[in-house]
Amino acid sequence: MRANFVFRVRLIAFAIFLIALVLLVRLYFVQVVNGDEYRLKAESQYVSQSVNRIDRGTIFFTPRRGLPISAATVEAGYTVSLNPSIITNPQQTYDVLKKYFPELDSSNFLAKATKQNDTHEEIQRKVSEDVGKQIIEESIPGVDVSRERWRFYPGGSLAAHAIGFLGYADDGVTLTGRYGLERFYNDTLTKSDGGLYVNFFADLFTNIRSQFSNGDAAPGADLVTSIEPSVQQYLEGILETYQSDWNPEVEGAIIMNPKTGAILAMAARPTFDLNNFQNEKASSFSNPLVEDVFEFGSTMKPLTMAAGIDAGAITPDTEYTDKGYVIYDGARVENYDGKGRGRVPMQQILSESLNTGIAFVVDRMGTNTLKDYFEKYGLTEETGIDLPSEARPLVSNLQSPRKLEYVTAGFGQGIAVTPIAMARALATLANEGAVPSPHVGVEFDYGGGITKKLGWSPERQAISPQSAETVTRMLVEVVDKALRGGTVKIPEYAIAAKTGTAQIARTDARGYYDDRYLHSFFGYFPAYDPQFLIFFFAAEPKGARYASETWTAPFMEMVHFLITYYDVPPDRVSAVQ
Amino acid sequence: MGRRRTFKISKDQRALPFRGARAQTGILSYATPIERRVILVLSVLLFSFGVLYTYFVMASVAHVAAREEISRKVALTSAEVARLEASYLASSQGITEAYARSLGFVKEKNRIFVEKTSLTALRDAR
Repeated sequence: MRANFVFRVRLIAFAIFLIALVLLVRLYFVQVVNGDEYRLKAESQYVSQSVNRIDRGTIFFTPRRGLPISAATVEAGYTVSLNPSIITNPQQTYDVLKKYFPELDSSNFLAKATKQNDTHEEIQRKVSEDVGKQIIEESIPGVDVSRERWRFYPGGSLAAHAIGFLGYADDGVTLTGRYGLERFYNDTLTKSDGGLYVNFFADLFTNIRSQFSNGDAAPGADLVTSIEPSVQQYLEGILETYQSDWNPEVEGAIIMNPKTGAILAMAARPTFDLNNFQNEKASSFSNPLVEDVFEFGSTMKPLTMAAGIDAGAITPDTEYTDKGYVIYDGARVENYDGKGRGRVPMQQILSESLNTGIAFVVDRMGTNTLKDYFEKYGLTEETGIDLPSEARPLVSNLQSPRKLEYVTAGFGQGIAVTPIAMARALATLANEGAVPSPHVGVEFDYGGGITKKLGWSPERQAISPQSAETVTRMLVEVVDKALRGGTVKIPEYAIAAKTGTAQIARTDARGYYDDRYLHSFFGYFPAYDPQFLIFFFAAEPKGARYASETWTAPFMEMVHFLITYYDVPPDRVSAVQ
Repeated sequence: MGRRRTFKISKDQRALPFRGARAQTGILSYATPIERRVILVLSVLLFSFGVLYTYFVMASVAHVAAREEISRKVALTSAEVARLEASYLASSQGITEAYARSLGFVKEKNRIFVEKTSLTALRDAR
């Protein structure tokens, strides 16, 4: 009897094992072998829902005072659609809906409403809460009002290039970040179960997966940025005025904290409305501050000067003889006015933006030393900013065997970098010689008080703090005595700044246009403990030759705004009055 | 009343696997005491798990439904906040220097800066 019992137990155990084995094999085929196919099939059932019910983390601006303000959030409302199969009186239905949608086209509506064997025709999306509720109360036969959520940008065009927007992915049905922060942080902002119809078993297991997911960019977070909305607004106003005054092809500006690399404002024109970008040119969506490279001209000179001082090749007291031109490798390099000034000190190279002076500095320090310093400034690499599609710098001239290319690179011609790379390199002068990491994102907020600070690569010391301070002192003198003859200085604030006027390379042949210029301008203050670095650039402004003509007033206007808005205390006692 | 009959159980009979007056039937009749305890524990566990499974599934259903409702309310509130933020940002664009001037504000030319003299500075002055 006992032997019989044991046999039966073993038989049952074997049967259970066999069933488990079959299930395991089946699971393997379902999840691993054919997993992708089934996933696609399952997701395809949710397409309509996911488009109508987007769920995504919010992107926040960080005002100086108060709570964060949404830069990109999710708006809720309704979609109004028709079910032609049960519409009894299309004309009457049209008349009722026309009250709510004045732009509703009659012929188009009637064509949809009278379709045979059709149960769904979309009439209007992104309908506001109030209007949606009123239409529901009308109880119009054949009119469906369903809930919808969509991405909404409260600032409209505010910081459009930095924020970016959502667009359809390559599959044509999934919404994903296409530009700016929306794209760079897409995986983090995306809520994994977002938009799907809630099936409680599916939801249960989806949540289990999210509980165990562990990584740097766990999905479903809000993103807090360093962009200050009032500063951004003011900066965009300045660019708008500049546009109407000088009509450049492209212009842009960056305001950065040079000590941390945090971007306070970033604006470019032409710009676009994030809520209505459908009719805009696609070319205006890309961010020229990160995705385009330019030759910036004389704003490069302080970097070359700092390299010369740091390398010990020159000091502020060093003098050279300016003949108005120099010749390298058979090419003539001239000052902007072609005039020689005789024996001049290093300060005058920056104050009067002398190309021959930069040639002297490069000569003194040597081409390899210049190249090494440009590499330390980060001019030969991407900055790693948290915005997509950062362009690589065009710096092949720094491989040239000829001295001419290094001399021209020394005053910002022949090498092209992105505005953000230029701003970062210049921030080195304001940051005691250390190269900061520019960034827009500050932290992820997972809700419930759980946040995660974003980390950036450590600063790299490019020049000594003493060298940086020496050049800062020279740049303060540029503002106090040279910029517009010293008339724009603020006695109580030390401001370091430099203009740059560059020729623009021809696109159809070698060489430069004679009548097209790129104007750039940078400055930082309070000069010896800077909180703000401002960088402006404009390609092909009309009606002015030099950057000092076009950018000085906007720069000083921005400085005055920042001093007032941030209550920046004076850092000197009218010493230069 | 007849006299009660008694039976003597031999040593060999005692060795047989019959215990007590009532004979056990079914699968347990063949189980050893250890197996019986294991089966008892497993049965209790099975029952407990069954109860817990039912409870958790019910709780999950309730939580998912509640979460969906809360999520809907959050979305509505968030949308309302977004509209207010849009209105705030649009309004703040109207606060310009020209607007301030229209309200009668003027730029102060005679600025006075006050410097706080610290005790250290006073000590150094002596």
